[in-house]
Parts: sequence; C-alpha cells; structure tokens
Amino acid sequence: MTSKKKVLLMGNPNVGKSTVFNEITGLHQHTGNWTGKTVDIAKGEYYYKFCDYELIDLPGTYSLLSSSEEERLARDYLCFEDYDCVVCVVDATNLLRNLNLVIQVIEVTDKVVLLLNLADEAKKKNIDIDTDSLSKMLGIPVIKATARSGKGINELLEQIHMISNGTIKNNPKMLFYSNAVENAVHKVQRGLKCAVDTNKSLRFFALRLLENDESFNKSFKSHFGEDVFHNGTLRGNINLAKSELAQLGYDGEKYIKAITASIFRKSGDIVNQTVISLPSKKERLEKSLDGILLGKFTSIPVMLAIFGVILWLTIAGSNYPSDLLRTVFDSFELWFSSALLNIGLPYTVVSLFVNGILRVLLWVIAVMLPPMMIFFSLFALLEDFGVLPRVAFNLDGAFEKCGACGKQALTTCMGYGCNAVGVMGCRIIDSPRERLVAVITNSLTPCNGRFPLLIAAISMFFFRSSVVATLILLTLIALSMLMTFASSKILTSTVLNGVTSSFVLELPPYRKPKILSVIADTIREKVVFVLLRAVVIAAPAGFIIWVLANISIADTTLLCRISQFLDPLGRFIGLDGVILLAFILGFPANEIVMPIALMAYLSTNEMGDYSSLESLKTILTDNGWSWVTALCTCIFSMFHFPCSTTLLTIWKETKSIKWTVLSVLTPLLAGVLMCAIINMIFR
Amino acid sequence: MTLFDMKENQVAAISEIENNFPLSRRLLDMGFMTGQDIKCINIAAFGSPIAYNLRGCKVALRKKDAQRVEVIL
Repeated sequence: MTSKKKVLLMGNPNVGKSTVFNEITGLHQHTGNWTGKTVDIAKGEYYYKFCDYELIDLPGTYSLLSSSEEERLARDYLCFEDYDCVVCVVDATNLLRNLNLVIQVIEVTDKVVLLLNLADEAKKKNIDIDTDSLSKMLGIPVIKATARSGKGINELLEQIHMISNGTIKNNPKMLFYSNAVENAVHKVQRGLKCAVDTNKSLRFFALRLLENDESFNKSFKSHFGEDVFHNGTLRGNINLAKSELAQLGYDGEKYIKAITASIFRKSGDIVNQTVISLPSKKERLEKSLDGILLGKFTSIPVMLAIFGVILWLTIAGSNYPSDLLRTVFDSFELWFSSALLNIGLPYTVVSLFVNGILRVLLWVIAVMLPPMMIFFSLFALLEDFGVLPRVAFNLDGAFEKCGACGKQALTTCMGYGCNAVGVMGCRIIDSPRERLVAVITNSLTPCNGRFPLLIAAISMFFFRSSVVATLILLTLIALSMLMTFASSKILTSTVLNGVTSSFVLELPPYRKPKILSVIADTIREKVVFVLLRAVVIAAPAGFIIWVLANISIADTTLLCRISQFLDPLGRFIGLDGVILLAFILGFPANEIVMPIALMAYLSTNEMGDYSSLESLKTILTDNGWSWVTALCTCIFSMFHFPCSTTLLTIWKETKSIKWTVLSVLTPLLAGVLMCAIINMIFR
Repeated sequence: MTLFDMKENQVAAISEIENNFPLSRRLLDMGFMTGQDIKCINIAAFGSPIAYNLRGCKVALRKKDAQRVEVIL
C-alpha cells in the first residue's frame, strides 16, 4: 500500500480554486467573488483508483515573485515541500493574466496540470481557446472545466493520477529570458548542484537567488540550512553571475523588471496563438452594468437603493418567522415547565430555569435567527455576484479621507446585519491599522437587533405615518454613518495614526451566484456561529436577570433597587434608571432591552412581551416618557457598548485588551455625549 | 502625465513606474510595465479611486498611487 499522494491546488485569486477543491473533496469551503478569500491552507482528502489523495488548497497568488504574505506562503510550499502533482487553476476568461503564474510554476516542477476553469463563462464571452496548442506550447496537459457543475473534474482526477504515479512525464517548455540572464542562471544552477539536494528544478531557485529577494533567501536558508551560502561554489557562482549581470545593465530593480517583462511577453505570445476572442453580449452587458454601478452620478444612489431594499426585506421578512418561532417557543416553555413541576421540582427552581434562563435563550434565538438568515443570504448573493468590491470602490474616496480603507464600507454594511459578523469581516482589510479602525467603529452601526426598538420608539413618539417614520429611521442611519466617518477620522489622527496604505482593488467580472449553496454557506458560516456565541452568553445573562427580578430586599426587588440607584445617571443622559439598567442587562443581545425595561416598569418578575404599540406607549408615558426620552433611547441604542457576542468577537480578532476596551469606549462616549446634549437642550 | 490625469475611456501606454514605493512590486505583478497599454474606465464619485483596464482585468488605484505611474497618450 502506497502512502497518500499530495496534490497542490494553485492559481490566481478568484478563479474558482475553492470550487474545484469543494467539487473534488466534497468539503465545503466558502467561495466568494472576492480576492484573497483563502488565507489559511485548506486541506481535504479524496480517493481515486485505489489511491488516497490529499488535496492542498494554497492561497491565491498572481505570481511567485511577489511580496505579500499569502503569496510567500504559496511560493514556499511549492518550492520546498514534497508533493506528487500541482494543479494550476486558471480563469479561462482571462488567460492573459493567469498564464504568468503557470509560466513560473513550470520553472519549479514538471508535475503540473493546467485546469482551464470557468469554461462555460469563456464560451458565453465568445472566447475560444485551443487547448491542444496551449498544451504543446507549455509542455503540460491542459483540461477545460466548469468546476461549478463538475464538468471536467473526472478528467482532471485522471491526469493527476497519471502524473503522480509517473505514467506520464511532462516536458515543460521553459521561457528563455535573454542570453545574459540564461548564462547567469546556468552558473548559479551549477553552484546549486553542489550545495543542495532537491527534486525540484533548480532553474527557479537560480532565478530567485540572482534577484537577491530577502524573503526568498530566508526561506531558502531555513529549508537547506543556515550555512547553505557558505558553500564556496554556490556563493562564488552567485557573486560571479551577479556581477556579470550588473555589467550588462541588469542590476537591482532592472533585473526583476526584465524578468517580469519577459514573462508577460511570453504569456502575451501564447494567448495570441491560442485564444480567439470576439466581442460578446455578456461583455457589453458587463460594461453597461459597470457604467451604472460605478458611474459618477448613478453609483451612490443605486447602492443606497440596493441597500435599502435589503434592509427592508430583512425587517419586513423576518417578522413572520420570528413571531412563529416565538409562538412555538412559548408553548414549548409552558409544556416544559409543567413537565418539570410534574416530576416534583420546586417552583423556584423551575421558574429560574424556565422563566429565567430558557426564556432569554429562546428569545435571543427567535429574534436573531430570521433576520440574520435573510440579511446575510442576500449579502452573500451580492458578494457572489461581484457587487461588493464595487461598493468598496465607490466609497473608498470617503474612507480614504478618514484615513481608513475602502473595504471598511463592506464591514460597515455587514454591521447592519450583525456587528459580530461585521467585526469578523474586517479580516478582508490588509493593513492592520486600518483593520483596527474598522473593528472599533463597527458597533456604531445599528445592527438588526436594535431596529425593532428604533422602529417602535419612532412610531410611538414621533409620527404615525410609515413614510415619515421611515425617513426618521433613515436620518438615524445617516447619523450612524456620519459617526463612523467622524470616529474613524479621530482614531486615525490619534491612537491609530499612520500613513494610509496603498492598495489595489480588483473588480472581478460579474458571476451568476449559486443561490442554494450561498444560502447554505451563510447559515453554516455566519448564522450558526453567531447564534452559538450568543447562546453561550444569553444563558448566564438570563440567570442574572431572573435573580435580580426575583430576589427582594425589604419588599423591593434588586432590579428596582439598582434601577433607582442608576436613575440620576440615566436622567442626566435623558433616560431613566430603568432604561439604563435595561441596556446594561441587555448586554447579551440588544433585542432584549425593551422587554427588560417593561419587566421593570410593570414590576413583574419575568420577561414579557407587549400586546400592541398603543398599550406599550401607555405604559411608557405612565412612567414619565416624553419624546425626548424616546429620542435619547434611540440614540443610546445606536451608540452604546457592543453586545456581548460582538465584544467576544472583537477580543478574538484583536487579541488585545486595549483595543477591546477602546471598542467599548468609542460608541459609549459618542452616545453619552449626544444624549446629554439633547437632554440639556430640550428639557 | 500620470495615470491620474487620464480621462474616462482614454487609452495610454505606461512609460514609467516610480521605483520602490509600497505598491510598485504588486503593480509589476499585475502587469504594470513600460509599454503596456492601459485604459481608464471609471473614476469613482469621490474622485478616487480610479478603475483601469489592464490586460483584460479591472483594477482600481487610489489617487496617490495612480500619480506614481507615468503614461503617454
């Protein structure tokens, strides 16, 4: 029995590498239409023709010459690890761009298969690729495939099989750089033969050593030993080759520019001889879509409209499933508590467990699950379609002025669904400084959990007509955006001071999203993850709330005592002790703030719901609410500390107490200040 | 003139790229090199970034980075 064969998956970002991976291994890994999705190396296994294979999905790379972390990782894996076959996945709709990597990969190893993915899209774009002559020109097998529908995958597995067991041996056609470079390469190769022992082609090593790329030298040394350069022949030959190159004008930056130019010329030549592309309908469609989505005057309104529709669908669409879940949970609660009482448990224990812990838990699930599913599924569809990078493009100018990254626009948008997801999303921002800005300011964006309170307060105390109420809600959202910009600016000019990073934003071609798999991925990746975190915190919080509401000192519950104690502070910012306490106890989830406040006002000792807005308003006005109170409650709801789930996520992402504390202080300070000012002016 | 001075739908050839700024290597990898044709496709509403079409790909650069690439019409 032979051991497991190792197969590497390489390719540019955003060519469907992860789809190929999923298709082969059956493992699911999210595949977004977004550059740099695979940061870690994903590994999966499969079985083909009595052989076990391990498939390793390397991060997307444009070339092996670059400097970014992911590209280094991929390069080092290719150069220094053992494997039996490399699959180069390329985008058939843009062979020109993708061939650069292939040309470099065949310099390292001959065990390469080229997979022309997205063949169906290429066909739609009237791009015709002559795979036979492409295969001849590169000297490696070429397979056309559409990984999304599994087409071409079997053929790929067969090729991998043949290459890894040695049935076929490729003879890759190397790129000839120039006489000067080739002479130098030969010299270094001779040196390498004496110094290192490897089954890889020495050509690529020689090219890199001539370049004197620090990161490559480091990896080279760590693989072949610190003293590899002490080998006299190798060191002598490198120095000789370099000085000869320098005499011919290939020194420093000029060398790498010449190398890159040769690679680009070669890929241009290959494409000219193997690809015929005619203008297509799809291309024109893409162009006019870009005209609208990126247009000077249309982009911002269109984006706002798309976002408004998503928000509306989320709010309107989640009412019914939420109500349904609550009804189901309520009857479950009743049944469960009577069952517990029947087996003889004391009432207090049952009440603590059911009315305390279980109720908060189920409440959080009922109110969080439906909106999150709707919002993030829609969001993921936009992502797959290719809209999100364009949103970043449109808003980058504004974020640049605040010293932040354009991709923060996306994490902010995610924050409307759930701040915890928004914070996690900040991983797409490369610069650590700008990522922190995005993490810290994310809670300034009102998440789904806060909308019910905002909507209820607005429609009770301001306007009955839904149009005006919507306008007020939109004003509040605009305020939150303003605060995001303002605090980003403040952060980047104080604690997170630094030079704004340079970045290249790629605008990928539009792609038809796979709806069902997008929804499944969303549920698995975002919804379950956030719910689990929420549940971990909601259960103990339910316990604390129950204790406070049920333990009395001198006939007054702890809940009342604490809220009386908080009252002066609450009044200072236009609220009262009860609301402030409700916000504090609502730490596990913003959704339970209003129910807790009602529980305190009505001095009941369990969390309950209100039957109508009318009765709710009566309760509130009886307890001294005015429109100022309502306004301050709205503002404070938008700007206070992040909920427990978000806070936990912030800590996990930053691993720093300092930034986690700052993430609490930033929105809290904004909220307290605004509420205090409003209170001073209007009361 | 630089990439930043291009108007929408204008095509130019890259003549020089500033050496050794954080992005220069990355741009080289994407095919930004002397003699390469580049088309300005969209300028964002705020004036930056600007999207270009280069070797069949759409990439956007911020103003200060676009100013570091010289082009000839």
